[in-house]
Amino acid sequence: MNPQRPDRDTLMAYADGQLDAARSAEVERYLEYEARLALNGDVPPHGARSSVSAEIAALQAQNLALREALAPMLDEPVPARLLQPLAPPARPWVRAAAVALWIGVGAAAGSLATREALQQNSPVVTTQNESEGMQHFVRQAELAYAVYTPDARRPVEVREGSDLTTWLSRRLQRPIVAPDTLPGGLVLMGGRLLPGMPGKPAAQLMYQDAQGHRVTVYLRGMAKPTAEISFRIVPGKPASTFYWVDRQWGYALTGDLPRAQLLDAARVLYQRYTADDPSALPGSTAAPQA
Amino acid sequence: MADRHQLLTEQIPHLRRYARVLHAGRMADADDLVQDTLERAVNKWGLWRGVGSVRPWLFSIMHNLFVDHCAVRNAQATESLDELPDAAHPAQAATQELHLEALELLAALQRLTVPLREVLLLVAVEGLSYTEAAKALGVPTGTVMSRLSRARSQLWQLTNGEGAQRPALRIIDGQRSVG
Repeated sequence: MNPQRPDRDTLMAYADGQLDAARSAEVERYLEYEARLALNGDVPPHGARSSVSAEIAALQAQNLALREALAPMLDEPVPARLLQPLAPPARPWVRAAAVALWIGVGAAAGSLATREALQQNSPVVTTQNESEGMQHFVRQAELAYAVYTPDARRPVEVREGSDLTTWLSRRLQRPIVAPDTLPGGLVLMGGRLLPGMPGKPAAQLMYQDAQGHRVTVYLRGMAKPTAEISFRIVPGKPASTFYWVDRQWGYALTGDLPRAQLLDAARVLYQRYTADDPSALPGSTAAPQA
Repeated sequence: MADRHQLLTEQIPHLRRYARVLHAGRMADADDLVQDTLERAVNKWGLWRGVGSVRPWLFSIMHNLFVDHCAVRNAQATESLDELPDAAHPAQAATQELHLEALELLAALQRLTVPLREVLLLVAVEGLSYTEAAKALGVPTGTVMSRLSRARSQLWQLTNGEGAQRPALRIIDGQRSVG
């Protein structure tokens, strides 16, 4: 007895992979029967209708076309505002930990070449507002790290090269330097532009070492006048963030690496950014420098 | 906590895509919807049983929010676009890389009614089972199948039929000026 032609719903479910094994087998029995007929040159049982195999192929081709047309949307960078709801609402422990660690880092900072410079013109002042602004800044840096470093296909928007720094410098309206390497075998991959604060876009640079560990540098202009801050650390799991503020610009270095190594990298960045004087800031009106 | 954060972060691109198809390419509206969905997911995290993928559950939240949103919008027909200034969005560049056929297909997709678009997205693109899609949309499985069937033949006609037109694709919201 010849198998029954599957109805339209069954074909669709088959094309979508929704049938259980038994019902899939029924469809396949019919497909074999149809193929045998075609091979023998017999009149197909469907008359003028298209063959079952053609219908299934058309359905699957349409699925595939839709998937391909919509696939590029998945690669688009996620705006930072969408990550806000995911951040833990308030993390008093972060501030406490930061303060506690500051003591330890302060001791470590004693070895920094930058120590004097920092001490001379930037006493560490932590007002309530500044602290909140800094928390927000650090959170943005952490989120940008968390979102983009795991990305296998498109971790950076623009690969390293002169285009990268030219573009970021133009968009942030200040010289952006991106050292090719940082201590610990970290090599520059590239970077991207991110929403920061209104009128103050942020830049992210990404580095990778030979073991595939990725480290990000996040920087933007601070929204409000902010006292300068020397190196601080926010320990995290797994990635920790070093941050500092220099001449109204916030810098954060985030990575899942030993603290000493992060500190070395942070030091090099600090030096590079101090050497490149960004005094020609467009928004420098907000900077009552003492 | 870390798990929840990671699970949700991974789903954001899929949520954005779904939202954009629902909102016919209006990016700002779409991202508002994603944001609301994420907020609700965080608040209602306990309701997700941790069985299977979290994605169908998120889609169901988004679907319900969208339905509510449309009801409110129809009632008051006012709109506020208070969004943060975005960086220049690469959606345009991304779509420019697409072939003309893909652009036609996307344009045709936007001409379907929302319920038809939804089933296509959930089943054909996101790979949800009929049962999962039915749960996400709050309709019987039979409805999912009949909508799918209609969606497919309409899409087929729009792209291959004689009445195939090429309306401008609204991936970028025309109201948002650049620069």
